[in-house]
Amino acid sequence: MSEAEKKIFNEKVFEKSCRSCHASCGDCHVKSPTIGGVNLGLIKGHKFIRKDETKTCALCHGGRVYPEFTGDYGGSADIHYQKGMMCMDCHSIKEIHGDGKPQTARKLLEYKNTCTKCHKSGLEKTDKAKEAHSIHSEDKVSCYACHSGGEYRNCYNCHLGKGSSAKPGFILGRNPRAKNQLTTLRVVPTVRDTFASVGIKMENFDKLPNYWDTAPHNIKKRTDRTRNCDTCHLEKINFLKKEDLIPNGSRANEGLIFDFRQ
Amino acid sequence: MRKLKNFLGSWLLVVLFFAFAQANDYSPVVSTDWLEKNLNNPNLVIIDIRKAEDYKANHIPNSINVVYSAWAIEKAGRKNELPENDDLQDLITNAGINDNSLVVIVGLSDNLTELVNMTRVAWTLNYSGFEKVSVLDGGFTKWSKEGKTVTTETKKPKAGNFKIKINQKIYADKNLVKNAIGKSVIVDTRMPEYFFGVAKLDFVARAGHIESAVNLPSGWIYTKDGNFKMLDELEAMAKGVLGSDKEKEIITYCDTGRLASGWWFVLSKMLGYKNVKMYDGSAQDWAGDATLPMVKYSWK
Repeated sequence: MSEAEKKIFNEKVFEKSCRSCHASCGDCHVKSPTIGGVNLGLIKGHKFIRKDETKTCALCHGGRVYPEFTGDYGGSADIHYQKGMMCMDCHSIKEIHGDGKPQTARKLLEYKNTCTKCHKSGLEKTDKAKEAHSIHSEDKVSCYACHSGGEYRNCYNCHLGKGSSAKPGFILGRNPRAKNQLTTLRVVPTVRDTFASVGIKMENFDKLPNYWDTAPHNIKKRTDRTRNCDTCHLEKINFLKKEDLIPNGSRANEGLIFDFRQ
Repeated sequence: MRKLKNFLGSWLLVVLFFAFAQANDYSPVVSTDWLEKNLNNPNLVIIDIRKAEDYKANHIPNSINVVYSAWAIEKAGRKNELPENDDLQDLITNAGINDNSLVVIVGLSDNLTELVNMTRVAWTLNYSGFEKVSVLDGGFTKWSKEGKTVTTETKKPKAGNFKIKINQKIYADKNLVKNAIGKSVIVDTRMPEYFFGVAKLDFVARAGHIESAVNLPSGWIYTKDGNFKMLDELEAMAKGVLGSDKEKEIITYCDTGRLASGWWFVLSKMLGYKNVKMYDGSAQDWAGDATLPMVKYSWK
């Protein structure tokens, strides 16, 4: 993106679109967000709601994360929800509020939550789990790749002029941030003319893929993949294939197809 | 006068039913008053199946939370399916259920779906081989309305020792239902418009009912306040539609295997019908198989 385009992006895209999610205090703790033009008003009059995850978190994250977590999106509830855990049992205040330093990406936060903060490697209860985790170490396979319990929401066709559409999917492929790792991917449905209407050409569109690593909140202790090696190693179920790539997507997408021979 | 007599007779049956719970330790339905008196019974495991956030907000003292969606999962596109056996064992162990436990299921009674969530969990526990499972009449909704004690204190149960022993006698699959047509009583527990085929849910491929099925909606089990109707009324409904032979095989079904648990529960646990199964896959499974007929626009 050129400097001129960056300026347009910051003024016309970030402020009008991204900023609607990037919140200040009251956006989470006093009022409900405007989603699709609809606003439910104040959460509880003029009161400051310190913590009520069904509102302070789920009103914004209710499109995909929260329904996946509670099982309302299909499948069954995340194992942590089944055990009565809510958002802030895993995600700390520091992770949510930040430390005042500007960050370029959410995933770069050094204090963000990870599975292994609670589930320490080597402390598994069974030999089978120990062996499975030592073979599929986190640098090769993410926790979600095996323990995500089912389909999660993926959006398609954003900004094609017809609006986006969402459908459940489960996609396994290379992590664009760590290509040696197999992980769950979620479609980021930008198209070549996403920002054409504001004068941004997206000349580098093919440098970044349309699939990005994601952490579906539908974790299970056991899944088809933990139960049977053949699910991945023989049948390759849900692995990203060339014929499944979104039409006219980025050329970088092909680099995320996982090949066991490589 | 006759009306008054009938009314008193019905109440006597209900009183006797709940009295049975106190005298013999087990009744399929327990009242809020019974539960209040038995809250500190060390063998009692109170399982609150409401959403985790609702449980956290307040719940019955000593109850633990295992949400409904842990007991009935979506599998291969089918809703309200049984978890795998190893997952079921984990759920039961982690809920602290022992061989000598008495389990009470607590849900909501605000609508029919919430009401049959309780009977569906009871069915799943029975399928796991655990028999002494009761449903709280009126659920947490009634408990709360009555102003009974609630707490926000959560408790983590000690792992239970009950080992699952799958009870196939209450489970029906597509093949079993196919073979049962014309031999057993197949009961469609959906509302009449679904049975008759003028309405259907989006995820059910075709409207109508399974050949030879009779219609006995689970929506008729409960009063408008969300309590079980009186026993004699339930018995009369069952007799009127199914007959009074309590030995014959009866298979209940609905759209996904949730509503159908209502009449499975009433027939087998409350009215003493001896051989009642539930077709877990129900119309979603049956109508999804294009080779199987669905009967429309007929009450037969």
